[in-house]
Amino acid sequence: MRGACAAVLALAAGCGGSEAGERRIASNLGTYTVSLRSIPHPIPANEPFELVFRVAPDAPDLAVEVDARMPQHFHGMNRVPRVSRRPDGSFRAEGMLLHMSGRWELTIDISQGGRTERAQTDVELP
Amino acid sequence: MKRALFVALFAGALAGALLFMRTGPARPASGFEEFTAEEVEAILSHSPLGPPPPDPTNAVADQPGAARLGQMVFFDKRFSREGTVSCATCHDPAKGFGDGEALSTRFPLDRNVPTLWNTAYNRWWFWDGRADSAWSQALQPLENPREHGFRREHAVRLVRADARLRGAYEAVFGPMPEGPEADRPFANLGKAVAAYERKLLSRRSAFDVFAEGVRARDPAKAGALSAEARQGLKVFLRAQCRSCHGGPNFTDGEFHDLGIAPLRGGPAPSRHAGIALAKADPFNGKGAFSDRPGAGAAKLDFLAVRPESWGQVKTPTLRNVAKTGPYMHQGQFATLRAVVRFYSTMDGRIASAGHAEAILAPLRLAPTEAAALVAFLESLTDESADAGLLKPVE
Repeated sequence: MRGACAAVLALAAGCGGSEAGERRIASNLGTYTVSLRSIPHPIPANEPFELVFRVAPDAPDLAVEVDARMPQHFHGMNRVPRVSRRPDGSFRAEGMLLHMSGRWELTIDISQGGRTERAQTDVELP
Repeated sequence: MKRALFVALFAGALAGALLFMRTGPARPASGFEEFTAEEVEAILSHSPLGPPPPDPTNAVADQPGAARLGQMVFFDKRFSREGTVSCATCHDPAKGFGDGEALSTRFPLDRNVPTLWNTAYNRWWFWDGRADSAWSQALQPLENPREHGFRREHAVRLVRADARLRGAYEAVFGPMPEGPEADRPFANLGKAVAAYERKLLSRRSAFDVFAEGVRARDPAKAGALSAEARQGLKVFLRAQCRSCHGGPNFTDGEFHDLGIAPLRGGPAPSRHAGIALAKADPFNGKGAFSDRPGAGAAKLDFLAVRPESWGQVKTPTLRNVAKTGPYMHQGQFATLRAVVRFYSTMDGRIASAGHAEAILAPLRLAPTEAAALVAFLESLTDESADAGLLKPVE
């Protein structure tokens, strides 16, 4: 249950979800809302997975980077995920793998016109 | 009650915000007072250990004929420059598929010989992960001048000239090429050795019987673990050993730096260099000899050389750990007691040149707790191995 409490507290800053498996996160200045889900869901421990997400408002020149780090460990993934556009306009981050149990910070950095905002949420792996 | 109320309050206020959380199946009631529901959930995450994951880059990984050929090669000293070294010379079945030494006194190597038990579950091979498959790993010592000192052309010539080896090879891979091309048949020998090593499994320990008992609420099976080992299991969980030694194989399969002083050769880049070596290996999973390069690419292409990769070595499995000493990448600790003492005190820990694991702190275990943790580690031993795999093919 400790993991559940940690996840609840960590998500208290402006997130929500809609359909099952989807999470919505606001960027730090509130310009963007990211709606994302993992494939598979839930995120598996120490197994590859992908993130599929939309950014609203969207624009053709958005640049997006995805990463994940363990704040208590001061390290992140051992991989660099690759973000690409899908034909339906959504984004896909491949190559994700969270190799340790514990709390991970998942970050999505959205840049446009030289300005970057970060949407961030936590993932607790048992 | 208080905790439940706390959770309910937050869950109500943040409905929908928890959808990414791992919910998983309902936790079974343990029926064992000494373990909390949270501990039971953790225990069950370590067992059972399923069959090894597929290796799509090795089409013969699960073929019995390939495993038989691989076993023949594994124990055959002719696959060396002087005819005196086989894979089993260092990976001795009687010594946990290691050599029982901290660092080899026979070969000028600066790494402890890793066990081959459960090697098929690895994501990376060697302490620095410079091989991305069991078959590419198997090829490197054959040509390393400090180990077998052999050459692929000689290996192929040996198989071609030996009726027994040739027959076993051709039964799996088809006609042995007669020309000078050696890379393909050499890669095939690696795949055969990997198929053999894939059968070296440690999956049925006293801990696994205990976990079955916890899952099924069967006190008889739960009794497979002694009271001391159960206490050690509690220490293992409390100390968060499973942060790195997680999952059913008791390893994350990835790389960490504990700050353990080197015995020989000074601090080494380890994983920092291993990534480039894995990507450059002509026998890697995305190369010309892979049976599914796309799968190999998916593994290699996302690899990142991070600053914290410097000095990191691979987390070994804890299954059969009582058989596989000395411990750590240079065998710095002769016994499990010494390993536990290190984690308990952190005495001798050095400042890392890279990124030391930030969560490591001395566990300050009482002597009874340290002994219990050793007892738990010993309970991860599987004695049910097929004896026919531990010796040359008859």
